[in-house]
Amino acid sequence: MTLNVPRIPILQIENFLVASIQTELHDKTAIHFKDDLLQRIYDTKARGLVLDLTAIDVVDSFIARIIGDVAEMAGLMGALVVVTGLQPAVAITLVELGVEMRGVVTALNLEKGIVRLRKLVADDSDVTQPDVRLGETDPAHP
Amino acid sequence: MTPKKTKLKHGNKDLALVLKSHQETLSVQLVADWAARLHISNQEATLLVNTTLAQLIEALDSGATDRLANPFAEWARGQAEKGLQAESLLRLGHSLCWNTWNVIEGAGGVTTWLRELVDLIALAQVAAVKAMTEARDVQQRQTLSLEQSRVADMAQAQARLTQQIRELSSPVIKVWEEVLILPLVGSIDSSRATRVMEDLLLGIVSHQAEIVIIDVTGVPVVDTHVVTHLVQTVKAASLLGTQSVLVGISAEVALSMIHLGVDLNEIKTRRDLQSGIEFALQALDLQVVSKDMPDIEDEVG
Repeated sequence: MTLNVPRIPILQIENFLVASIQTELHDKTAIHFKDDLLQRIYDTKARGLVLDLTAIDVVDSFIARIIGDVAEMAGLMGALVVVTGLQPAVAITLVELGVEMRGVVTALNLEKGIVRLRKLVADDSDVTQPDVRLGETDPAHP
Repeated sequence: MTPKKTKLKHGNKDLALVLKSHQETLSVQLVADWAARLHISNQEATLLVNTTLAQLIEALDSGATDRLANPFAEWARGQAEKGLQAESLLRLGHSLCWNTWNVIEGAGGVTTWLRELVDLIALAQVAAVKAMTEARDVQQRQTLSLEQSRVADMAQAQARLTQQIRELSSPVIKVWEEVLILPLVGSIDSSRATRVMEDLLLGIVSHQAEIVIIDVTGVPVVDTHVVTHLVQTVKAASLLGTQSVLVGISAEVALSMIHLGVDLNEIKTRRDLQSGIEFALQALDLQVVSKDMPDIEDEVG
């Protein structure tokens, strides 16, 4: 990990991770971010991840692919991903580029994102762990 | 434009004297002639002829050609606005020359005088034609600039109207908390579709809408562009985290959508606006309950 690459903070709230990207996403930053994130998911055994892109004005196809990758890999590791706060201009660019972030759940803002994630996790738990209800589970000792 | 001050060589005083003595006879002839040529009343013609003759005599007497040329040019400048043609101006000069010479010749004029007379009148004519052309140029330039400003005004009005139509063409209406309706009316072209998309996405963000109902009841026909844009709009909205439902697709539109082979799998559709609203309420876990039967609701609950 080089020092001159800005690192994106990843916060833990309950059993979710929240990453709010406040800097411009360069390719290098994005790759570091991806590695960081997956490591954190592994370490914390988080059930969900909210990726807040409110501050991002430009998303190119590479970054879009990274986001898609992160969602997919996190899914493999048992964490559900919700992307929040995408700007209209960014959405238009992505659609016009033909980038489809399949399997990525979106929400308008961080709050709605967390609500959505809770719902998704609850639905997920219903199927996989029918007896365990969300909020009563200690993520460290399921 | 002042003509060159050429001095008449000699005999001008004599010529002036002869002319002066026959001014009245000459005047009568010229008035009849000019009135017919210029289509003006005898009174006007008399005034014009008398002034011109007086100036002609003065010019001959003093030898300063501009005594005739300058006022004549001035007069022509004024006439240019009334539509006087250069041709009529030349005919006037010709008539002046001819009639004057007739009178002078009858009074025992000398042939060399003719030369001087013709020179003088020709100079005046040239000055007059120049003045007239200039005046017409100015006039045309004015007309042109007027026309330009008129066109600019029209363009401005047009732009205003277009702007107004744009504003009217994509209203994003909030019907319930977190529910927006986008009624599309009339034909949609590429620029309008882009505009609609932008407006809708901005509306979604500003209202924090969970569900958008796109009502295409008022869209008579669709082509590939429109459908592509609709699909793109729905996808962009879903990237923001908003669900879209397309309502009011007419039989023709449905038919052409199928013929165009658009993949509408990812897009939710409902029959009409009512169904769309029902869908939205359901998605938000809301319900419309009749006021008359609150008890039943309680019993069920």
